[in-house]
Amino acid sequence: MAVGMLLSLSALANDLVVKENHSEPSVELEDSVSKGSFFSVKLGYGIGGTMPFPLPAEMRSINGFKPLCNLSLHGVYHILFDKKVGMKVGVGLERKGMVADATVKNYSMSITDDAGGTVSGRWTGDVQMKAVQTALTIPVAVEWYPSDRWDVNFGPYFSYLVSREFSGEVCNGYLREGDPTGAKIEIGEDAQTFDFSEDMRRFQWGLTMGVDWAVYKKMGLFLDLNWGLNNIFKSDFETITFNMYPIFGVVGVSYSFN
Amino acid sequence: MKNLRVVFFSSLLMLASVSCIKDEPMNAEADILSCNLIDDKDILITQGDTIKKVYSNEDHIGILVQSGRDLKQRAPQFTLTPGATISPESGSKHDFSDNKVVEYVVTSEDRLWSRRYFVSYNSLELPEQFSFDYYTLDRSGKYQIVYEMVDDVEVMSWWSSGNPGFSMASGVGPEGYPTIIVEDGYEGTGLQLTTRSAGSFGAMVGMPIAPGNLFLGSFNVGMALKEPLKATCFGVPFEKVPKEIKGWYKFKPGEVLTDGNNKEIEGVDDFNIYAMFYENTDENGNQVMLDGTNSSSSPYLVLYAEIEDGKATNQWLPFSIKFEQKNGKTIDPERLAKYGYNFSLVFSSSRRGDVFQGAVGSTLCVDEVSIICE
Repeated sequence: MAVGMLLSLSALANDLVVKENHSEPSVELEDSVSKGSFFSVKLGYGIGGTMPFPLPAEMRSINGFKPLCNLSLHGVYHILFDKKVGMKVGVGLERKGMVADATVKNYSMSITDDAGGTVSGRWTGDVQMKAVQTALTIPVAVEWYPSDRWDVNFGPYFSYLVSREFSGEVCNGYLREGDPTGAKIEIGEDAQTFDFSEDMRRFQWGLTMGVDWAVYKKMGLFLDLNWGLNNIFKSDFETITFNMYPIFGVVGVSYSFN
Repeated sequence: MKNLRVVFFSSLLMLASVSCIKDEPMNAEADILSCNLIDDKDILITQGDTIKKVYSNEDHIGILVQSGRDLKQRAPQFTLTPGATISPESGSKHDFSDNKVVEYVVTSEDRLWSRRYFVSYNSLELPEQFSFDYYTLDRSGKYQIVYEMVDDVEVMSWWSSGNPGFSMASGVGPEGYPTIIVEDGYEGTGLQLTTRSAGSFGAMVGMPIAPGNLFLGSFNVGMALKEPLKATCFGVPFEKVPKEIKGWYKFKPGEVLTDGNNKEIEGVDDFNIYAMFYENTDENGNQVMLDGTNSSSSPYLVLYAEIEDGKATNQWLPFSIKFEQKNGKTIDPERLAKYGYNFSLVFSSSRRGDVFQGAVGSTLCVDEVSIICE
């Protein structure tokens, strides 16, 4: 997603640059329009979370949140239809990672060990979740250039996860084995771990909304919002009863070759 | 551009607002946490014991009362999971005479879950003969619960095992559990205890094996992960003085002895049969319940007996273990008459099972056990 955002942002930046170019001498503008395309790269840093949306009532409080080093790098190809409208397609590598601490009530989950032993049920207590997705992403977007310096873009992205992790631990609470009327098993300070990495989908998609601002001719700043629209877990995964989506904002710089 | 910015930031704002923490959901649990027996104070066999804790794995609540008391109009009160409701109502009067069982249904605050409880008042004496003939499956159908039948009354509150804890570690059927009743006992059915592997989950939580065990007392599954030795609560009130335990056994040690870290160690596994008799209240009248941490070392122990000459055998062999004094204490007849002592008898298929040392496959069969009293 971050990448997507980056892409969008860079697209924006590109657009801006393009516009700038255009706005100055009309010759250059026409030139660039007539060329009809240019290339840009985007480097971004993402902040966000992989979360259920909206937050389920089982989530009682979020006690801590830490984004990981979510860098992204995209190459984007822009096609201009006219002065104001174009589209882009990109490819890039991006990371979406976070660690969150939450207190939950009656939260459906299972505690697993390395070899696959599992106890499942409803957890009430503290949970720390780590979700990290590294994806190869293809963003596609429509671009609009309201002015020389600005590019606003919107479109879908498609990701293939090259690495995935969803793991964490639970402590200071109790598990009701099976369902809320099952045996109540207390867990104290000594945390028990869980790992659902293997239950994550490889394919993700979502939407990106982005803005690029050309700071200087070829250099731009971008801001993308990447919103995942399919559940990160496979459809037959039932331990977590609600869907979770990666929702990340990405800020970064773009550079246009045109 | 302004418009755009407005759109962008208002959508961010929208996002933030929908992802706010929701109102707390209603409770989904439906437990009786404890029984309040203050109205029954005068008839309880242990009079200080007016609050009876109910563990999450228990469905049968047996209230021990003095014999010959009127049980026609008893009104036990219950502390429930917050928000839960109970039917019939807590504090309502029921006829508990002649060992009648009253069924209560607890419904969770969110109305989606319910649990059934079976409450009885009885003055039945712990039998002095055990043939291990009766078992039922727990409400999830996963494992056996061993019980006794006295005067046509099923008494669930005497025997307990670690089976509820093992259910976390394994998906096997009831016969694959550490503690089961089998057809081929010494006479009729008998008890079979087998040390099982607690699987990868058990290994992860530092409990690689699950010895078969059966004991008089209760198993608090809630502590099974946190402090496993405290999950086994040994003892039921007893108003006789035990002298000796006799019975029949067979034992086959498992092949590979492992320690608490699941590492192979030298040696051969051994089983254990032991029994204790102890003061069940302290100097201030508070309840004393021995568990796996102090069953042989508690200062409240009065008598203790443990098998010493057990051996591997394919044939049924008799055993006899005699009680010895502990802590220089003597029996106080007045305390004895008021059920001031607890008695427990424990069988385990791995002697050092308390520290999770044992051999998977060690099998102890026990049958026709009797308590010889003074």
